[in-house]
Amino acid sequence: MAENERTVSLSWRGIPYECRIVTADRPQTTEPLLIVGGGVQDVHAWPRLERRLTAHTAVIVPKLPDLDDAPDPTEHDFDTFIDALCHALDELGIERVNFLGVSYGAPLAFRMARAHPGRVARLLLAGATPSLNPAMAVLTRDLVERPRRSDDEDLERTTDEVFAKRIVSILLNSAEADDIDKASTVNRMLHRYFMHHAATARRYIASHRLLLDQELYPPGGLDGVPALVFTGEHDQTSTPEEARAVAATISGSTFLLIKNADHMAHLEREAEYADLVIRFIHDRSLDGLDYCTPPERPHTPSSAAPVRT
Amino acid sequence: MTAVTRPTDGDDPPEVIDFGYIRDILVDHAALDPAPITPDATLAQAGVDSMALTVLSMTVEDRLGLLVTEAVLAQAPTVAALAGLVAGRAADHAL
Repeated sequence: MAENERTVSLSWRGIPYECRIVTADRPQTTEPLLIVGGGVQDVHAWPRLERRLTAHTAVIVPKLPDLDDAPDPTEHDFDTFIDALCHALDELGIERVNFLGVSYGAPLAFRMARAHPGRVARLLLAGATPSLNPAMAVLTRDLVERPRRSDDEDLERTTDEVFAKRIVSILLNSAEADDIDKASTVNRMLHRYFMHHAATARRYIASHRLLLDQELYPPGGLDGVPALVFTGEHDQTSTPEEARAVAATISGSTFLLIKNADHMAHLEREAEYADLVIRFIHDRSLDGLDYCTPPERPHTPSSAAPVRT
Repeated sequence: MTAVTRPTDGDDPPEVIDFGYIRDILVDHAALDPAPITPDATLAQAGVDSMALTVLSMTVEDRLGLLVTEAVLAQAPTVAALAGLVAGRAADHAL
Protein backbone atom coordinates (compact mmCIF):
# COMPACT_ATOMS: atom_id res chain seq x y z
CA MET A 1 0.00 0.00 0.00
CA ALA A 2 1.31 3.47 -0.88
CA GLU A 3 2.38 5.83 1.92
CA ASN A 4 -0.36 8.32 1.10
CA GLU A 5 -3.25 5.95 1.67
CA ARG A 6 -4.72 3.73 4.34
CA THR A 7 -7.64 1.35 4.61
CA VAL A 8 -9.59 0.83 7.82
CA SER A 9 -11.66 -2.27 8.56
CA LEU A 10 -14.92 -1.37 10.24
CA SER A 11 -18.11 -2.90 11.54
CA TRP A 12 -21.58 -1.40 11.84
CA ARG A 13 -24.37 -3.26 13.63
CA GLY A 14 -22.53 -6.49 13.06
CA ILE A 15 -21.83 -5.96 9.37
CA PRO A 16 -18.18 -5.70 8.31
CA TYR A 17 -17.14 -3.08 5.77
CA GLU A 18 -14.10 -1.05 4.76
CA CYS A 19 -13.08 2.50 4.05
CA ARG A 20 -9.97 3.74 2.26
CA ILE A 21 -8.55 7.25 2.28
CA VAL A 22 -5.94 8.66 -0.10
CA THR A 23 -4.37 11.95 0.91
CA ALA A 24 -3.87 14.76 -1.58
CA ASP A 25 -0.66 15.63 -3.37
CA ARG A 26 -0.86 19.27 -2.27
CA PRO A 27 -2.11 21.29 0.73
CA GLN A 28 -5.87 21.13 1.08
CA THR A 29 -8.13 24.07 0.32
CA THR A 30 -11.38 22.11 0.49
CA GLU A 31 -12.91 19.23 2.44
CA PRO A 32 -11.97 15.62 1.53
CA LEU A 33 -14.07 14.05 -1.22
CA LEU A 34 -16.18 11.05 -0.23
CA ILE A 35 -17.13 8.94 -3.27
CA VAL A 36 -19.93 6.38 -3.10
CA GLY A 37 -20.99 4.73 -6.32
CA GLY A 38 -22.84 1.75 -7.63
CA GLY A 39 -23.72 -1.38 -5.78
CA VAL A 40 -20.52 -3.27 -6.50
CA GLN A 41 -18.08 -0.57 -5.43
CA ASP A 42 -15.00 -1.63 -3.49
CA VAL A 43 -12.32 0.58 -2.01
CA HIS A 44 -10.35 0.61 -5.27
CA ALA A 45 -13.32 1.30 -7.51
CA TRP A 46 -12.26 4.65 -8.97
CA PRO A 47 -8.61 4.34 -10.06
CA ARG A 48 -8.86 6.73 -13.00
CA LEU A 49 -10.88 9.38 -11.24
CA GLU A 50 -8.82 8.99 -8.09
CA ARG A 51 -5.57 9.60 -9.98
CA ARG A 52 -6.86 12.90 -11.31
CA LEU A 53 -8.62 14.00 -8.12
CA THR A 54 -5.88 13.30 -5.58
CA ALA A 55 -3.74 15.97 -7.20
CA HIS A 56 -6.27 18.39 -5.70
CA THR A 57 -8.11 16.75 -2.81
CA ALA A 58 -8.05 13.85 -0.39
CA VAL A 59 -10.35 11.05 -1.56
CA ILE A 60 -12.32 8.66 0.65
CA VAL A 61 -13.70 5.45 -0.92
CA PRO A 62 -15.76 3.07 1.24
CA LYS A 63 -16.99 -0.41 0.48
CA LEU A 64 -20.50 -0.28 1.84
CA PRO A 65 -21.77 -2.96 4.22
CA ASP A 66 -23.29 -5.94 2.43
CA LEU A 67 -26.71 -6.33 4.02
CA ASP A 68 -26.59 -10.08 3.49
CA ASP A 69 -23.77 -10.13 6.06
CA ALA A 70 -26.08 -8.65 8.71
CA PRO A 71 -27.31 -10.87 11.54
CA ASP A 72 -30.85 -9.90 10.42
CA PRO A 73 -30.89 -8.34 6.92
CA THR A 74 -34.54 -7.39 7.23
CA GLU A 75 -33.68 -4.76 9.84
CA HIS A 76 -31.78 -2.60 7.39
CA ASP A 77 -32.52 0.17 4.92
CA PHE A 78 -30.84 3.32 3.65
CA ASP A 79 -30.18 4.48 7.20
CA THR A 80 -27.79 1.59 7.73
CA PHE A 81 -25.57 2.89 4.94
CA ILE A 82 -25.80 6.49 6.17
CA ASP A 83 -24.94 5.47 9.72
CA ALA A 84 -22.07 3.32 8.46
CA LEU A 85 -20.67 6.22 6.43
CA CYS A 86 -20.83 8.55 9.44
CA HIS A 87 -19.17 5.88 11.55
CA ALA A 88 -16.39 5.56 8.96
CA LEU A 89 -15.80 9.33 8.96
CA ASP A 90 -15.69 9.31 12.77
CA GLU A 91 -13.10 6.55 12.70
CA LEU A 92 -11.03 8.51 10.19
CA GLY A 93 -11.35 11.67 12.29
CA ILE A 94 -13.08 13.60 9.51
CA GLU A 95 -15.91 15.96 10.37
CA ARG A 96 -17.00 17.30 6.97
CA VAL A 97 -16.71 16.05 3.42
CA ASN A 98 -17.64 16.92 -0.10
CA PHE A 99 -19.89 13.99 -1.02
CA LEU A 100 -19.92 12.66 -4.59
CA GLY A 101 -22.76 10.16 -4.86
CA VAL A 102 -22.75 8.31 -8.15
CA SER A 103 -25.75 6.36 -9.44
CA TYR A 104 -26.90 4.23 -6.51
CA GLY A 105 -24.68 6.38 -4.28
CA ALA A 106 -26.59 9.56 -5.18
CA PRO A 107 -29.58 8.94 -2.90
CA LEU A 108 -27.18 8.03 -0.11
CA ALA A 109 -25.39 11.35 -0.53
CA PHE A 110 -28.69 13.22 -0.64
CA ARG A 111 -29.98 11.47 2.48
CA MET A 112 -26.75 12.04 4.37
CA ALA A 113 -26.89 15.75 3.57
CA ARG A 114 -30.46 15.85 4.90
CA ALA A 115 -29.82 13.82 8.02
CA HIS A 116 -26.41 15.26 8.84
CA PRO A 117 -26.16 18.68 7.19
CA GLY A 118 -23.10 19.59 9.22
CA ARG A 119 -21.11 16.76 7.67
CA VAL A 120 -21.64 17.57 3.98
CA ALA A 121 -19.92 20.73 2.77
CA ARG A 122 -20.91 20.24 -0.88
CA LEU A 123 -23.12 17.70 -2.54
CA LEU A 124 -22.41 16.23 -5.98
CA LEU A 125 -24.96 13.82 -7.48
CA ALA A 126 -24.00 11.99 -10.67
CA GLY A 127 -26.41 9.70 -12.51
CA ALA A 128 -29.24 10.42 -10.06
CA THR A 129 -32.82 9.34 -10.67
CA PRO A 130 -35.90 9.64 -8.44
CA SER A 131 -36.53 5.90 -8.50
CA LEU A 132 -34.66 2.83 -9.65
CA ASN A 133 -34.44 2.36 -13.41
CA PRO A 134 -37.21 -0.13 -14.35
CA ALA A 135 -34.83 -2.46 -16.18
CA MET A 136 -32.45 -2.45 -13.21
CA ALA A 137 -35.37 -3.15 -10.87
CA VAL A 138 -36.38 -6.16 -12.99
CA LEU A 139 -32.79 -7.40 -13.04
CA THR A 140 -32.53 -7.03 -9.27
CA ARG A 141 -35.75 -8.98 -8.73
CA ASP A 142 -34.56 -11.71 -11.10
CA LEU A 143 -31.33 -12.02 -9.14
CA VAL A 144 -33.20 -12.22 -5.86
CA GLU A 145 -35.39 -15.03 -7.17
CA ARG A 146 -32.62 -16.94 -8.90
CA PRO A 147 -31.54 -20.20 -7.22
CA ARG A 148 -28.06 -20.56 -5.81
CA ARG A 149 -25.20 -21.27 -8.18
CA SER A 150 -25.20 -24.81 -9.47
CA ASP A 151 -22.28 -27.17 -10.05
CA ASP A 152 -22.90 -27.08 -13.79
CA GLU A 153 -20.06 -24.84 -15.00
CA ASP A 154 -21.45 -24.46 -18.51
CA LEU A 155 -24.82 -23.39 -17.15
CA GLU A 156 -23.21 -20.93 -14.76
CA ARG A 157 -21.03 -19.47 -17.49
CA THR A 158 -24.07 -18.99 -19.72
CA THR A 159 -25.95 -17.40 -16.84
CA ASP A 160 -23.02 -15.08 -16.13
CA GLU A 161 -22.87 -14.14 -19.81
CA VAL A 162 -26.57 -13.28 -19.86
CA PHE A 163 -26.23 -11.30 -16.64
CA ALA A 164 -23.24 -9.35 -17.98
CA LYS A 165 -25.05 -8.51 -21.22
CA ARG A 166 -28.16 -7.41 -19.36
CA ILE A 167 -26.45 -5.10 -16.93
CA VAL A 168 -24.18 -3.60 -19.58
CA SER A 169 -27.20 -2.96 -21.80
CA ILE A 170 -28.80 -1.10 -18.89
CA LEU A 171 -25.76 0.98 -18.01
CA LEU A 172 -24.65 1.90 -21.54
CA ASN A 173 -26.65 3.61 -24.28
CA SER A 174 -25.74 1.51 -27.30
CA ALA A 175 -28.11 3.43 -29.58
CA GLU A 176 -25.97 6.55 -29.13
CA ALA A 177 -22.60 4.76 -29.08
CA ASP A 178 -21.36 6.71 -32.11
CA ASP A 179 -21.70 9.93 -30.10
CA ILE A 180 -20.14 8.60 -26.87
CA ASP A 181 -16.41 8.74 -26.19
CA LYS A 182 -14.67 5.38 -25.70
CA ALA A 183 -18.03 3.61 -26.12
CA SER A 184 -16.64 0.34 -27.47
CA THR A 185 -13.83 0.22 -24.91
CA VAL A 186 -16.13 0.88 -21.96
CA ASN A 187 -18.64 -1.66 -23.27
CA ARG A 188 -16.00 -4.35 -23.50
CA MET A 189 -14.42 -3.49 -20.17
CA LEU A 190 -17.74 -3.56 -18.33
CA HIS A 191 -18.73 -6.82 -19.96
CA ARG A 192 -15.44 -8.42 -18.94
CA TYR A 193 -15.77 -6.97 -15.46
CA PHE A 194 -19.25 -8.32 -14.90
CA MET A 195 -18.32 -11.71 -16.34
CA HIS A 196 -15.29 -11.92 -14.05
CA HIS A 197 -17.13 -10.66 -10.98
CA ALA A 198 -20.55 -12.09 -11.84
CA ALA A 199 -21.10 -14.03 -8.64
CA THR A 200 -20.13 -11.12 -6.41
CA ALA A 201 -22.03 -8.57 -8.48
CA ARG A 202 -25.17 -10.67 -8.64
CA ARG A 203 -25.14 -11.25 -4.90
CA TYR A 204 -24.52 -7.60 -4.14
CA ILE A 205 -27.17 -6.28 -6.51
CA ALA A 206 -29.64 -8.78 -5.10
CA SER A 207 -28.89 -7.45 -1.61
CA HIS A 208 -30.49 -4.17 -2.68
CA ARG A 209 -33.89 -5.85 -2.76
CA LEU A 210 -34.89 -4.08 0.44
CA LEU A 211 -34.57 -0.78 -1.35
CA LEU A 212 -36.61 -1.62 -4.42
CA ASP A 213 -40.00 -0.52 -3.27
CA GLN A 214 -39.29 2.87 -1.83
CA GLU A 215 -38.61 6.26 -3.27
CA LEU A 216 -34.88 6.81 -3.44
CA TYR A 217 -35.25 10.45 -2.39
CA PRO A 218 -37.48 11.33 0.53
CA PRO A 219 -40.04 14.06 -0.09
CA GLY A 220 -39.37 17.55 1.08
CA GLY A 221 -36.25 18.31 -0.88
CA LEU A 222 -33.05 19.76 0.46
CA ASP A 223 -31.60 23.18 1.10
CA GLY A 224 -28.63 24.72 2.77
CA VAL A 225 -25.93 22.79 0.93
CA PRO A 226 -24.28 23.74 -2.37
CA ALA A 227 -25.22 21.00 -4.84
CA LEU A 228 -24.25 19.96 -8.36
CA VAL A 229 -26.37 17.39 -10.19
CA PHE A 230 -25.00 16.03 -13.46
CA THR A 231 -24.83 13.04 -15.77
CA GLY A 232 -23.96 12.18 -19.36
CA GLU A 233 -26.17 13.69 -22.02
CA HIS A 234 -27.00 10.21 -23.35
CA ASP A 235 -27.63 8.57 -19.97
CA GLN A 236 -30.52 6.11 -20.25
CA THR A 237 -30.12 4.66 -16.74
CA SER A 238 -30.82 7.99 -15.10
CA THR A 239 -32.05 10.15 -17.95
CA PRO A 240 -31.35 13.88 -18.13
CA GLU A 241 -35.01 14.52 -17.33
CA GLU A 242 -34.86 12.30 -14.26
CA ALA A 243 -31.59 13.83 -13.06
CA ARG A 244 -33.02 17.30 -13.61
CA ALA A 245 -36.05 16.28 -11.51
CA VAL A 246 -33.71 15.39 -8.65
CA ALA A 247 -31.89 18.72 -9.02
CA ALA A 248 -35.22 20.51 -8.91
CA THR A 249 -35.72 19.31 -5.34
CA ILE A 250 -32.49 20.91 -4.09
CA SER A 251 -32.60 24.61 -3.40
CA GLY A 252 -29.97 26.53 -5.34
CA SER A 253 -28.62 23.42 -7.07
CA THR A 254 -26.79 23.50 -10.37
CA PHE A 255 -27.64 21.01 -13.13
CA LEU A 256 -25.67 20.22 -16.27
CA LEU A 257 -24.90 17.40 -18.69
CA ILE A 258 -21.52 16.10 -19.81
CA LYS A 259 -21.42 15.85 -23.58
CA ASN A 260 -20.55 12.67 -25.47
CA ALA A 261 -21.20 10.47 -22.44
CA ASP A 262 -23.90 8.31 -20.83
CA HIS A 263 -24.29 6.82 -17.34
CA MET A 264 -20.63 5.81 -17.31
CA ALA A 265 -19.34 9.32 -17.92
CA HIS A 266 -16.55 8.84 -15.37
CA LEU A 267 -15.02 6.25 -17.69
CA GLU A 268 -15.94 7.81 -21.02
CA ARG A 269 -14.82 11.36 -20.19
CA GLU A 270 -12.69 10.89 -17.10
CA ALA A 271 -10.59 14.05 -17.51
CA GLU A 272 -13.62 16.28 -17.98
CA TYR A 273 -15.54 14.53 -15.20
CA ALA A 274 -12.64 15.08 -12.80
CA ASP A 275 -12.28 18.69 -13.90
CA LEU A 276 -15.95 19.31 -13.20
CA VAL A 277 -15.71 17.80 -9.72
CA ILE A 278 -12.53 19.72 -8.90
CA ARG A 279 -14.08 22.99 -10.03
CA PHE A 280 -17.22 22.50 -7.98
CA ILE A 281 -15.54 21.50 -4.73
CA HIS A 282 -13.30 24.56 -5.02
CA ASP A 283 -16.26 26.87 -5.72
CA ARG A 284 -14.97 27.74 -9.18
CA SER A 285 -17.20 28.79 -12.04
CA LEU A 286 -18.87 26.12 -14.18
CA ASP A 287 -19.76 28.60 -16.90
CA GLY A 288 -18.37 28.28 -20.40
CA LEU A 289 -17.07 24.71 -20.15
CA ASP A 290 -17.00 23.23 -23.65
CA TYR A 291 -17.46 19.66 -22.46
CA CYS A 292 -20.85 20.21 -20.82
CA THR A 293 -24.13 22.01 -21.28
CA PRO A 294 -24.60 25.44 -19.72
CA PRO A 295 -25.41 25.26 -15.99
CA GLU A 296 -29.12 25.32 -15.16
CA ARG A 297 -30.91 26.19 -11.92
CA PRO A 298 -33.96 23.90 -12.06
CA HIS A 299 -35.18 24.36 -8.49
CA THR A 300 -38.41 26.23 -7.92
CA PRO A 301 -40.25 26.55 -4.61
CA SER A 302 -42.92 24.09 -5.84
CA SER A 303 -40.53 21.36 -7.00
CA ALA A 304 -39.53 19.82 -3.68
CA ALA A 305 -40.99 16.35 -4.23
CA PRO A 306 -39.27 14.34 -6.98
CA VAL A 307 -41.55 12.46 -9.35
CA ARG A 308 -40.34 9.88 -11.82
CA THR A 309 -40.77 11.26 -15.33
CA MET B 1 14.38 -6.76 -23.14
CA THR B 2 12.31 -8.56 -25.76
CA ALA B 3 11.66 -6.64 -28.94
CA VAL B 4 10.09 -7.91 -32.09
CA THR B 5 9.92 -6.12 -35.42
CA ARG B 6 6.86 -6.65 -37.53
CA PRO B 7 6.66 -5.68 -41.18
CA THR B 8 3.75 -3.46 -42.15
CA ASP B 9 1.79 -3.05 -45.33
CA GLY B 10 2.83 -0.39 -47.79
CA ASP B 11 5.61 2.09 -47.18
CA ASP B 12 5.22 2.41 -43.41
CA PRO B 13 8.33 1.52 -41.38
CA PRO B 14 8.20 -1.83 -39.57
CA GLU B 15 6.69 -1.74 -36.08
CA VAL B 16 9.01 -2.53 -33.20
CA ILE B 17 7.10 -4.21 -30.41
CA ASP B 18 8.97 -3.42 -27.24
CA PHE B 19 8.56 -1.53 -23.97
CA GLY B 20 8.21 1.80 -25.79
CA TYR B 21 5.49 0.39 -28.04
CA ILE B 22 3.43 -0.74 -25.05
CA ARG B 23 4.12 2.44 -23.09
CA ASP B 24 2.94 4.58 -25.99
CA ILE B 25 -0.35 2.68 -26.22
CA LEU B 26 -0.89 3.02 -22.46
CA VAL B 27 -0.17 6.76 -22.56
CA ASP B 28 -1.67 7.78 -25.91
CA HIS B 29 -4.71 5.52 -25.99
CA ALA B 30 -5.38 4.50 -22.37
CA ALA B 31 -4.66 8.00 -20.99
CA LEU B 32 -2.22 6.82 -18.32
CA ASP B 33 0.36 9.09 -16.71
CA PRO B 34 3.73 8.24 -18.37
CA ALA B 35 5.85 8.88 -15.25
CA PRO B 36 5.22 5.63 -13.36
CA ILE B 37 5.37 3.46 -16.50
CA THR B 38 8.86 2.02 -16.23
CA PRO B 39 10.08 -1.40 -17.36
CA ASP B 40 10.38 -2.72 -13.80
CA ALA B 41 7.09 -1.29 -12.53
CA THR B 42 4.34 -3.73 -11.70
CA LEU B 43 1.11 -3.13 -13.58
CA ALA B 44 -0.43 -1.66 -10.44
CA GLN B 45 2.56 0.65 -9.90
CA ALA B 46 2.32 1.77 -13.52
CA GLY B 47 -1.36 2.59 -13.08
CA VAL B 48 -2.46 -0.12 -15.48
CA ASP B 49 -6.10 -0.72 -14.58
CA SER B 50 -8.82 -2.80 -16.21
CA MET B 51 -9.63 0.02 -18.62
CA ALA B 52 -6.00 0.24 -19.73
CA LEU B 53 -5.82 -3.52 -20.23
CA THR B 54 -8.95 -3.39 -22.37
CA VAL B 55 -7.49 -0.56 -24.45
CA LEU B 56 -4.22 -2.46 -24.83
CA SER B 57 -5.97 -5.68 -25.83
CA MET B 58 -8.15 -3.89 -28.39
CA THR B 59 -5.25 -1.89 -29.82
CA VAL B 60 -3.03 -4.96 -30.18
CA GLU B 61 -5.88 -6.73 -31.93
CA ASP B 62 -6.48 -3.78 -34.28
CA ARG B 63 -2.84 -3.14 -35.12
CA LEU B 64 -1.35 -6.61 -35.07
CA GLY B 65 -4.31 -8.91 -35.57
CA LEU B 66 -3.46 -10.62 -32.28
CA LEU B 67 -6.04 -11.82 -29.79
CA VAL B 68 -4.52 -11.38 -26.34
CA THR B 69 -7.19 -11.12 -23.68
CA GLU B 70 -7.14 -8.77 -20.73
CA ALA B 71 -6.91 -11.78 -18.41
CA VAL B 72 -3.71 -12.92 -20.12
CA LEU B 73 -2.23 -9.42 -20.16
CA ALA B 74 -3.03 -8.96 -16.47
CA GLN B 75 -0.78 -11.87 -15.57
CA ALA B 76 2.38 -9.99 -16.59
CA PRO B 77 4.35 -9.15 -13.43
CA THR B 78 5.90 -5.97 -14.87
CA VAL B 79 5.47 -3.59 -17.80
CA ALA B 80 8.59 -5.08 -19.40
CA ALA B 81 7.03 -8.52 -19.07
CA LEU B 82 3.86 -7.15 -20.63
CA ALA B 83 5.88 -5.96 -23.61
CA GLY B 84 7.62 -9.31 -23.77
CA LEU B 85 4.30 -11.11 -23.71
CA VAL B 86 2.90 -9.13 -26.63
CA ALA B 87 6.17 -9.37 -28.55
CA GLY B 88 6.25 -13.11 -28.03
CA ARG B 89 2.71 -13.52 -29.27
CA ALA B 90 3.52 -11.35 -32.29
CA ALA B 91 6.57 -13.46 -33.08
CA ASP B 92 4.54 -16.67 -32.81
CA HIS B 93 1.84 -15.16 -34.99
CA ALA B 94 4.38 -14.26 -37.68
CA LEU B 95 5.70 -17.82 -37.99
